[in-house]
Amino acid sequence: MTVGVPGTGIGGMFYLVSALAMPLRQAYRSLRRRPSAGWRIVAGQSAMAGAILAAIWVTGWLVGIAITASAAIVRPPHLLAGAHPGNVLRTAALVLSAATLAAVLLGVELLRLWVHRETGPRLERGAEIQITRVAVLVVLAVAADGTHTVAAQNTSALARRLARADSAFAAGDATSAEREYAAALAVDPENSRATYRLADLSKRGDPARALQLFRRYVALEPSDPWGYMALGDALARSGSYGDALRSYDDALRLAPDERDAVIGRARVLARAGHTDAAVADYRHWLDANPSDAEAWGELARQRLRQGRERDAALAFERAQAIAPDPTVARRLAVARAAAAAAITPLASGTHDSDGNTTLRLGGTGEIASWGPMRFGLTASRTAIEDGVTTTGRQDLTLGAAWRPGAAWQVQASGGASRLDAVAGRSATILPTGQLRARWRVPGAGPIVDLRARRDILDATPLLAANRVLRTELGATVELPVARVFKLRGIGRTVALSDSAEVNHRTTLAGMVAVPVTPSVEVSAQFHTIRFAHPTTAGYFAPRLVQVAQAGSYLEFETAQGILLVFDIGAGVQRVAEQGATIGPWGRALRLYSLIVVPLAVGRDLRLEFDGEQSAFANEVATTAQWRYVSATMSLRWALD
Amino acid sequence: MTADLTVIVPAYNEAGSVADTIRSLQAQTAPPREIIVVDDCSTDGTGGVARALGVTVVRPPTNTGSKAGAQSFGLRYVCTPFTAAIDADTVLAPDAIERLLPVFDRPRVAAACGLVLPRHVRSIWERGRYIEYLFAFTYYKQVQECYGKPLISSGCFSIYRTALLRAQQGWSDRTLAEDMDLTWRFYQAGHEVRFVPEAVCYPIEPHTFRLMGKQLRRWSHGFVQNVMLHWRGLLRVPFLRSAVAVAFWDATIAAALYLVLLPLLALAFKSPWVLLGYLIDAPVVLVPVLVGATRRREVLRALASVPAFFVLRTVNAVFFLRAVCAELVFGRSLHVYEKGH
Repeated sequence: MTVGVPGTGIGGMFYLVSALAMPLRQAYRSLRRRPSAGWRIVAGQSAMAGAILAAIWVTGWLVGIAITASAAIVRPPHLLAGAHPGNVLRTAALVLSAATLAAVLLGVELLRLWVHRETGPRLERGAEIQITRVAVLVVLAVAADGTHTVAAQNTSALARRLARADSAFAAGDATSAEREYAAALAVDPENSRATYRLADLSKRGDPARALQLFRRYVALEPSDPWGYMALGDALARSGSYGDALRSYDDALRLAPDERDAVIGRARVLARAGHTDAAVADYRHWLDANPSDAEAWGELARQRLRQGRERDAALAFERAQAIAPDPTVARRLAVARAAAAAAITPLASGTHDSDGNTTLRLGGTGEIASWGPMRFGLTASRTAIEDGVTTTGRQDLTLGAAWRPGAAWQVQASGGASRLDAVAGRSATILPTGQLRARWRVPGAGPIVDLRARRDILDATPLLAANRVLRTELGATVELPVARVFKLRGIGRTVALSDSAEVNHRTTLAGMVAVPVTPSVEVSAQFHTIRFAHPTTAGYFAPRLVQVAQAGSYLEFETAQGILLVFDIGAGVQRVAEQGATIGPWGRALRLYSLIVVPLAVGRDLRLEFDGEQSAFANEVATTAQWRYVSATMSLRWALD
Repeated sequence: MTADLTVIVPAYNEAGSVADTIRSLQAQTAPPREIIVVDDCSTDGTGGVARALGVTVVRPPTNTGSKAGAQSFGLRYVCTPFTAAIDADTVLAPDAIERLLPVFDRPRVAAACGLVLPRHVRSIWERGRYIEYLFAFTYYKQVQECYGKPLISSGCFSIYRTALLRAQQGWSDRTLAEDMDLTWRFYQAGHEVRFVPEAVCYPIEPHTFRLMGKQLRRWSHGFVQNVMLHWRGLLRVPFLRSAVAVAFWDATIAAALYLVLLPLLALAFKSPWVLLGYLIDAPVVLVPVLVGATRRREVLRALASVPAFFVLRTVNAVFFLRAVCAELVFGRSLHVYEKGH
């Protein structure tokens, strides 16, 4: 096969330079008396490289003549103005590809130095060990092909080794069993039983070796479905979910009705994040085998991941009815509580460095989940004051959440806000609402998050008095790259309107996030925010804000089930006021934390804290130097 | 003189071509000690055709699902120090094995391959492939050989040292380019791979777009999968790391520039002259092609086939870009082995 696009790109330049360097290399190797290609081949390739260079030159010259000759008919591009077009083209092509090639090769060398920065000597030893291993295997292979007498002796030695290994395995002596099976394989590298057992014993301590041995077992025993299943499990543990699924497909071809093959495949799907496909596999199995309690339990857990709490509770009930188990009973209670009707009283408050304070009291009532749907009604009263003026608002909102599948989440809410009479303005009722759709490609793929909302800015009495409405459209796209990092892009456009004017805010942000562990992510982010014009409505509307931040997201769950989430950002920010040049970089800090404490089954206390210290945080900031804190406490009480 | 060599011929529904392959093996100046046809549960009588020609036919209990699976199954029956693998649609020049075996005098050589040329050069796709092979095997591969690092020991015909092949546990089906996977494993284990241009083989290349698409899909995904699998290990192998990086660049960035940037620049500058960029590398392609064709006295055939190469190159770029997006961005690894040629 030929990779890449032969001729184009930098491949042609790479091989051209390599060919031109061959005489030097050949001379060096001849002097050092090392094996080499021979002068005839070197001369041939060098001559070919020379011919290519000449041909490039001639082509450039001919193209230049053609361009010059037809200049009267077709206008050549500006970049050719004032120079002989042929010279420009051939020189540009050569310089561009040589520079690109140099950059790529330099990049490879830097990558090599970085990847192997601390393991150089160890790698050398590793290579030696590998060569030694290969040599040992060669010797063993040669020995295995030896005389009949030697073979007979080996057979006897093998039988003894296997007997000792099996005894140790049966007695639970994993260390001795591993040693004896390895010795048996040294005598007979194709002994499938020893290969499988050794792989099985290596699963915990040396997963890479286990994987290699399971592969070998499958090659030795291609008709054994259990080999494919074991290989599938080993591949799934290593994160190679696609290969693991193929291995299970092989097992299912050989044993289509085997429980471990069907359920094992569903487990791999679940582990890979293909929740809907896993649910389909479990359901298919349970249709034919409804008395499998373990499968009902696993189906229930996948239903919870789908956001189908009621279906999860039903599946847990089936599992519990077949084989009562305290763990399943506890999970059943949690699933029932999640699916049940609930009330959630809440209290929240905010305070900023300008002396603005809000206090919100309210609550949400949810009715029991209905398939993938859930409905709730929220009512709240918010008091807003700045030490001089006090006003308030009341909100009534009907919300719905829909999970058509594990990959999709849709949330919608709509209602109205009544703003109190203030500063000579009578009480006003304004419609508000929000629509959000989130889609994630199954298996840790890209994420698209779209949001539209309309609400009222209420951080200060002035904003409330001016009836400033925010209408926002936004999108977030996240692309995982090679399972190493994620690229995230955010775009938002906001219209801020009051009785006097409409202003526009545009936000663009890009970030690179690296998951350090499944619960810790670090990121580097850059945001730009622009306002169309200044305003007197009471919010801060600079011409441009730029923010560069390093962030980290941490999520932990304690043994008692307490969930702790922290989102921390620290960086710099600079602001350009309307009609002014951009100011100096200043400090920008932010912190968000969430703590969920399960008080009892179906009763979760939720605490949220939010803080910012920066010149600009969001449009509710009223001055250029601003600090802000907020706290929210709510208690979800399931009415089960 | 019989070569101490076993040839494995993996075959799935190859009744129409396997006989030519076997006859070309039996007609070698150094015929192999044994020819094993792995009939991978064919339904067209492939096994019967092979058996009638007097070779060993083995059949796995179920279809192995890939060429790698069938070859590894056949490896269990090999008793000679050297193993050759040849596709069931490939024939060899009469002296191919005799030309290839002497490189194994050096004990570190684990694999060796020869020059590949399409058996038929009729359709646009076969012509494009003919130029691609003439170019690659006359220029790129010769340079790789001089630096001791041919990028791939070709899957359609290669000879291996059996003990080292077994030490690597044969061919793996974890990627769609099992030949590249095996070659790179040999390098990382400290072994050598050689290219001998005098040993010529002639596979049947895809003659329709549908078949070519299947093959390019397999190759492009296989390349990306192998880069993802081996990149750390390859960094330790001089020259190969650079060759792979350059190939990866050409398969991704260069392919994108080739397909998108030049037309965009032409539109931006409102000048068709920018499209001359497509021709600027024509001599890089033509010189090695004409050198290779002159040696084979096929200059007219080569000149007539050059336009097809530019068509194939464009299609190639599309497939490589798709593979890179699927494997790297969307994490959709392709593993279904669709047989083309």
